[in-house]
Amino acid sequence: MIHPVYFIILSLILFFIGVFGIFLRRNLLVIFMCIELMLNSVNLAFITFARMLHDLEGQLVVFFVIVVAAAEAAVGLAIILLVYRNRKTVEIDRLTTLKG
Amino acid sequence: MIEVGFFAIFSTFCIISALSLILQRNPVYSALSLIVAIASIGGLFLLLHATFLAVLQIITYAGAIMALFLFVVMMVDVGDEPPSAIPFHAGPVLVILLLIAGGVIWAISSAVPGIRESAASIDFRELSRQLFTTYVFPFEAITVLIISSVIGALYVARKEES
Repeated sequence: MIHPVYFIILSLILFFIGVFGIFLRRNLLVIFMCIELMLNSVNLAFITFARMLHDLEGQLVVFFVIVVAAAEAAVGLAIILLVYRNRKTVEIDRLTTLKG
Repeated sequence: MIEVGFFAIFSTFCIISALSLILQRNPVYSALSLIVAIASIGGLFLLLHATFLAVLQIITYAGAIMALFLFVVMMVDVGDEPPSAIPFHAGPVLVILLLIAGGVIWAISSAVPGIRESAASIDFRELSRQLFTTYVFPFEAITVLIISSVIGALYVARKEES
């Protein structure tokens, strides 16, 4: 039996790796992947708490998070494709039209 | 004892592939490392007795969503980032994030109680019953959400008529 605090610490480490990736990378697609990694680490924390408290609702929330992540991936990737079609790049440093 | 071994294997895979996700220059390799990370998180779900969600994680995340990602990465064809692409603010951000992470880990490491063993364990039947009785409205709402998001994605990515 592993103490649940190790799962929580692992999920925190993965979450912060994802946050750092958003600051580190310039590519829109990789930033999107970092967001997926952060969603997954939060799912891990939810399931750890569900196991810790013997409560079903943590697992149900994770189920809904996975489905919402699928919907988010579909819309987000469509937007990235549209950006690439219009601007021929997905580097966020070159997407400065809003800034003027 | 065997649980500890599997936890060590899965967590090591997880952290290494997450680091490889943010340090690779080529987005295709980043996507492949994310698949490894997600599959190892699915293994950790199994260690936490969440069998259904582990299966869902492998099929939906590592299968469907990541296939979509790889498809778009190969369509966009961005190539490698130049080595000088690391932004100047990465160093201070890393320091701040390490401070926050260290503080949070120090704070929770003594506050989390152990797992209480009880007779009532979470099983698949109970999960399905909750999903279709107490949570039937969120379940139906999420079907509407996913249908509308797919239609929206098709509309956004359609070919412009000139």
